Amino acid sequence: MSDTVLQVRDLEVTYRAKQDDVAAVRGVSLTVDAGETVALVGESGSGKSTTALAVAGLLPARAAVTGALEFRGRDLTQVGRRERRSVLGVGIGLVPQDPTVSLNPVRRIGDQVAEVLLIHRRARRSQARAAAVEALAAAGLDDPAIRARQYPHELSGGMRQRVLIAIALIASPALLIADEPTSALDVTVQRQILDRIGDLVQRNGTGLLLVTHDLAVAADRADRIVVMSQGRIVEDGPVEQILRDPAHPYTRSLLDAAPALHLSGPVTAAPAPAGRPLLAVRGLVKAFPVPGRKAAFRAVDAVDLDVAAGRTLGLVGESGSGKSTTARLALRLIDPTAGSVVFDGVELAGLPAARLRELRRRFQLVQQNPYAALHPKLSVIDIVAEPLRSFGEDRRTARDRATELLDRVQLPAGTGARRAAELSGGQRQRVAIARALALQPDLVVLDEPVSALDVRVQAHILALLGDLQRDLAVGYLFISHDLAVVRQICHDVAVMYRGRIVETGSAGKIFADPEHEYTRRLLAAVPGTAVR
Amino acid sequence: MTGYLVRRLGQAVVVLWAAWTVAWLVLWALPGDAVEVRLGIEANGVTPEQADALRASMGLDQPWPVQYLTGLGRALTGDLGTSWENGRPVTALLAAGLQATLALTALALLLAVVFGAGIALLATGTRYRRLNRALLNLPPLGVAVPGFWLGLILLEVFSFRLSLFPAIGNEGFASLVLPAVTLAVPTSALIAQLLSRSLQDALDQPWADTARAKGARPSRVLLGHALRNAALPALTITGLIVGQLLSGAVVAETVFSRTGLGRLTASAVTAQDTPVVQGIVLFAALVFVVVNLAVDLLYPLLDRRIVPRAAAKASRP
Amino acid sequence: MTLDLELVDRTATAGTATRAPAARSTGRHWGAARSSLRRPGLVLSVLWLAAVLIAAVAPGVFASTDPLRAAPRLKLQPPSWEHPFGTDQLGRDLFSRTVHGTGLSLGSALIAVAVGIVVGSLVGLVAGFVRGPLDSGLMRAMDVLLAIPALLLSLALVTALGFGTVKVAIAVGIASIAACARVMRSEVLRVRESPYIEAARAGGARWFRVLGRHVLPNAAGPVLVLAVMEFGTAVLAVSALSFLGYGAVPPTPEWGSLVSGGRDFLGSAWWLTVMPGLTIVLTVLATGRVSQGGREGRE
Repeated sequence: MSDTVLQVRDLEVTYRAKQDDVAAVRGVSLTVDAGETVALVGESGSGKSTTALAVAGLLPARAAVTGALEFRGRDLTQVGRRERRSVLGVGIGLVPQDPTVSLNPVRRIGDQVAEVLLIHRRARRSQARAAAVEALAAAGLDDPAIRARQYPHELSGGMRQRVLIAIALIASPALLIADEPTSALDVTVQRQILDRIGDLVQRNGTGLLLVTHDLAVAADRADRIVVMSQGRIVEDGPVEQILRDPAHPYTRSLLDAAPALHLSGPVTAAPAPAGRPLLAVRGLVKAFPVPGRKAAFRAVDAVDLDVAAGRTLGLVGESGSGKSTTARLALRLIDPTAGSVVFDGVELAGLPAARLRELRRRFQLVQQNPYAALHPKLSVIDIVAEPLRSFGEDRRTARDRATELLDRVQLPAGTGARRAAELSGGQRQRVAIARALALQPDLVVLDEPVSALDVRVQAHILALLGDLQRDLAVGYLFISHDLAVVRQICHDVAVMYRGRIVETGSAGKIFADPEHEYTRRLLAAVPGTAVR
Repeated sequence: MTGYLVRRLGQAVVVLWAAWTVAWLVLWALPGDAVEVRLGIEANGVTPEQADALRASMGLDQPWPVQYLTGLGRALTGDLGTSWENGRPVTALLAAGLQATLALTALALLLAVVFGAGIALLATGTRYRRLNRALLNLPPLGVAVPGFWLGLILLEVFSFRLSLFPAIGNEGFASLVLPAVTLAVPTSALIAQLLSRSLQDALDQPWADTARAKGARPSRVLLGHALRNAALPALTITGLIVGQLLSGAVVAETVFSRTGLGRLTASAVTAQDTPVVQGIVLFAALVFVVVNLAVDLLYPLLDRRIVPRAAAKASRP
Repeated sequence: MTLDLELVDRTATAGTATRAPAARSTGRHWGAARSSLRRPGLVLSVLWLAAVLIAAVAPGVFASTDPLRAAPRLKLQPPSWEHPFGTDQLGRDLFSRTVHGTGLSLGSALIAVAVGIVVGSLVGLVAGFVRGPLDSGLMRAMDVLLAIPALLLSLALVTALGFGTVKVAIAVGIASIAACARVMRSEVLRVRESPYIEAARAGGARWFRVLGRHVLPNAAGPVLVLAVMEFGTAVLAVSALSFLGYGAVPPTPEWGSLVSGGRDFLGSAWWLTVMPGLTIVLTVLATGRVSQGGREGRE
C-alpha cells in the first residue's frame, strides 16, 4: 500500500494582531499519501492557503501554529529551524500562485533553479546548472538551455510557472504543494500547466496537495477533495462521492454555484432582437505605436460587434486579446484609430463634446476591480449619486434616487452611510452596478465584473444582473475570460483572439457546435470535464 | 546603445545650461543693483560718476540679453568671471578649493555608505525585534541633528577635551576625520532609511518566499536575493547624496576652519560675491549631472528589465 | 434571495493577488485615537510641538526674563534652577533667549514650507493632471532645480536677495519647491490611473469636477504628510543659514545664531552651543515622528 507522506493533525493557526487575534485555521486534520492528489478547496478566507503555507513553514512570524505536521513521520513543528529548512525544497516542494511576481527579477532563470541543489549541497555548481536545464526541460520549457540564461521578465506567465515547477520538483520531493498554481494564468495555459504537474507527479509517485478555489479543477485532477470553510474542514472524501453525493450543505452550495460544472444545462432564454442594434461596431481598430518598430501594435483589429436592446453579448477572450480596449472604445473613453461606433443610430466619432456627454447618460460602465473602482473617501450613497450630480441634479433628489438604487441591488439599508473600505468585494460590486444604473442607461458595459469575486458571490451577482435586465430591459456588453460564466448569462457570444473576432453566434450554438479552432481550444480548456 | 549615450549626454548639457541660466537669473536679475551691493561693502562717498564708471566696467549698463549672452559665451570658453572680493579668476578659486573638498567629500561618502548600509542590513537581518527597533530609531536622529551643531560637539569632545584630532586646518588625514564624520551623519541616515525600507519591501515580495521555500537560510535570502533588488532604488539617489555632501561641506568647513570649496562659498555669500557663487552653483550642477549620467549607464547592467532606449512611453493598452 | 455578506473575498485577478481589507466598524476615528495613545513617542512629539508653538506665539508663557537684558555679574553660568540653560557672555539668560527665538525660527520655517508647498503643489498638480508637453516642460524645470543642491540654491538666493530672516525663509522655501512638486505630481498620477477616475468620466463628470471632487481629495494626503516633514527640514535649513550669519541680526535671538554665538566659548561654556542645538534636534525629531504617524495612519 502507499505510505503516508503528510499527516496534519489538529492544526490551528492564529494571526496575532494589535486589535484582535484572527483564527485562520481551526482544528484541521488531513493526510496525503504517496502518489495521491488531494485537493484543498474553499473560498477566500477559508484557510486553505494558510494550511498549505503552514506545512511549507512559510507563515509570517506573527502566526502562532499549534498541532502536528508530520512529514514522513517526522513532526515538523517539533524540530529546530535548521532541520525544518533541510526539508524544504528537497522533501517538500512549493509551486506558488502568481508566477509574475514569484521569481527574483534580477537573477537568471538557471541560477534560480540550480539554487535548490546548491542550498542543500546536492551538487556542485556545474552539475547543478546541468540539472537545472534538465528540470526546465521536464517542466515543458522549450529551448531550456537558452531559457536558463534569460531573466524572468523575458518569459510569459505560463513559461514562468513552468520554471517554478522546475524549482519545486528538481530535487524529487516526496510532497508537492501547489497553491492555486493556475489562477493567475489564462485558461488555455492553465490546462497545460495542470497536465504537466499531473504527469510529473505521477511519474515520480509524489504526493500532491493542490490548493484551489475552483471545484471544477479539483474534480479534474484530484483523487480526494477536502472542503474548507472559515478555517474548518467541512467535508473530506473521494472525488466521485463529493461530486455526486455531497454531505454538507456548504459543499452543495459550492457545487451549485460553480458555472463550469453546469455547462451542459440549458441556456438562458432571450427576448427576440427587434429593429436596429443598440450598439453597432464596425471595423474598429486601435493601434499603439511601438518604439523601435515600424508596424504599430494593433490591440483591436477590425472588430465588428452588435449588441441588441435588452440582450447580453458576451465578449470572450484571454489576456491580451483586446477585449478591455474594445469596451473602452465602445464607450468612447478612448478614441479609435479607425472604424465606427454607432449607438442607437448615432455615430459617436466626431460628435461635439457636449453632445457626446449628453449621450453618455445612455451607456455606462462597471469595472473589474471592486477594490479600486469606488471613490475611497465618499460615502456609498454619494458614490451612487455622483453621476446624477455630474449632470446637474441637486443633492436631495440625487440621494433619494441613490437610495432606491441601493435597494434595487439588494444592499441592506444603512449601507449608504458607509464607505467603500468597509464593504466586501461582492457588496462593492453591487454599489458599482447601482452607480452604473443611476442615469437609467440603455446599455451597460461590464468589464470582467465577477472575476475578482468568490464563486458563490459571483453566482449572486450574475443572478442580480439577470433580474435587472428583465426588469429594466437594459442591454449588456459582458466581457469575460471565463467561458462558463459567459454561458450562464449571455445570449450571444463573440470570441476574441489577438485583437480579432474569430467567431460570433448565439450562446447555444457556440457552446454546442464551435466552428473556429481557437473557440474549440477555449472550450476544451474549461476545467470540469470529468464531471461533464 | 550609442544612441542612448548621445541622448543622455545631450540632456546633461541642457541641464547644465539650464542650471547656469537659473543661477544667472537668480543672481543677476533679482532686485538689487550689483554695483550698489559691491559699493555697499566699501565705504560711502562714491560719486555717481564713479558708480557709473564701475557699472560700465562690469558690463552692467548693457541690456540684459546682451549680458546673458556674453556671460554664457565666456562660460563656454571656461571663463567664469573674476571674484569681486579679490579679483582672482573664479576658475582658479574653484580649482584651489577642489582638492581639499573632494577628499573630505570622498571620505564622508565612504563613511555614509558603510554606516548607512550597515545599519540597514543589520536592522533588517536580525531576528530580534528590539535590536531592529533600536537600530531603526537611529536614522531619524541622524536626520534631525544639525550639521553645524554636531560638528561643534565633536570638536568639543574629540578635539578640545580628548585632543585626539586637530581642531582646525587641513593638515594630514587626522584633520579630515571629524569634518568627514560630521558630513557623513545625515547622509548615512538617509541611506539607512532608504535601504532598510527597500530591503524590508524586498523581503516581503513573493519571490523572497520562493527562496525560503527552497530552504534558504535567512541570511541567504537577505544577501543573495533581497540586497540586489534593494540596492537599485538606493543607487538612483546617488546624485542627490553627492549634492547633499557638497553643500554640507559649506557648514563642515566653516565649523572646522578648513580651506576648500565650502569655505569659499561661505565667504563669497557673506561678501555677496556673485561670480564666485555662480561658479560654485555651476560646479555643483556639473557634479550632479556627471554622477547621474554614470548611474544611468550603470543601472541597465544591474537591472535587465530597464532597457537603455529613448523615453518614448510604452503605449501598451 | 439571500445576501452573501462574507467579509473577506478573493481578489485574484489575472496578475496580482491582492488581499481584501477586512471590514472596519464605523468607530474608525476613535479607534485611531486610542491606538495612538499606546505609542508614547508620538504623544511626546505632539506635546513638544504644541509647547514649541506656544513658545513661538506667546514666549512669556515659558520665560518671563527679558532675553535682551544683560547682567554682567551673571556671565557664563552653567545651567541651574534659576537659569535652566545657563547664561551667556553678557549674562543673558539662555533659556529665555531660546524661548524668545522660537518665534523667529518657527516663523521662518513656516514661511519656507508655505512657499515650497503652495508653489510646488500647484506645479505638481498642473503637471500631473494636464500631462503632455506642459508636464514635460514643468518637470524638466524641476529637474534643473534638483540638480542644484538645496543649501547652495538657498545660498545663491540669499546672495541675491540679501540677509535677514524673511529672506532666508523665502530662499529655503524656493529651494524646496521641486521636491514638493514631484510628490504632488506622482500622487496625482497615481490617482489618475485609478479605476474610479475612469468611472467618474464614464458617469459624465467634466474635468473640473474630476479634478476637484475625485483627484484632489485623494492626492492631498501624502502632500500634507510631506508638509510636516518639510517643516522639520526647513527648521534645519533656516538655522544652518542663521548659523552661517545670514539670518537674524544680533542681539535678536534665533536658534541658529544662538549656536553660532556660543562657538567662541566652546571649551569653557558648552551649554551655549549644546542647549539651543538640542532644541532644534528635538523639534525636528518631533516633526519627523508626527509625519511618520500621519503616514502610518493612512495605511
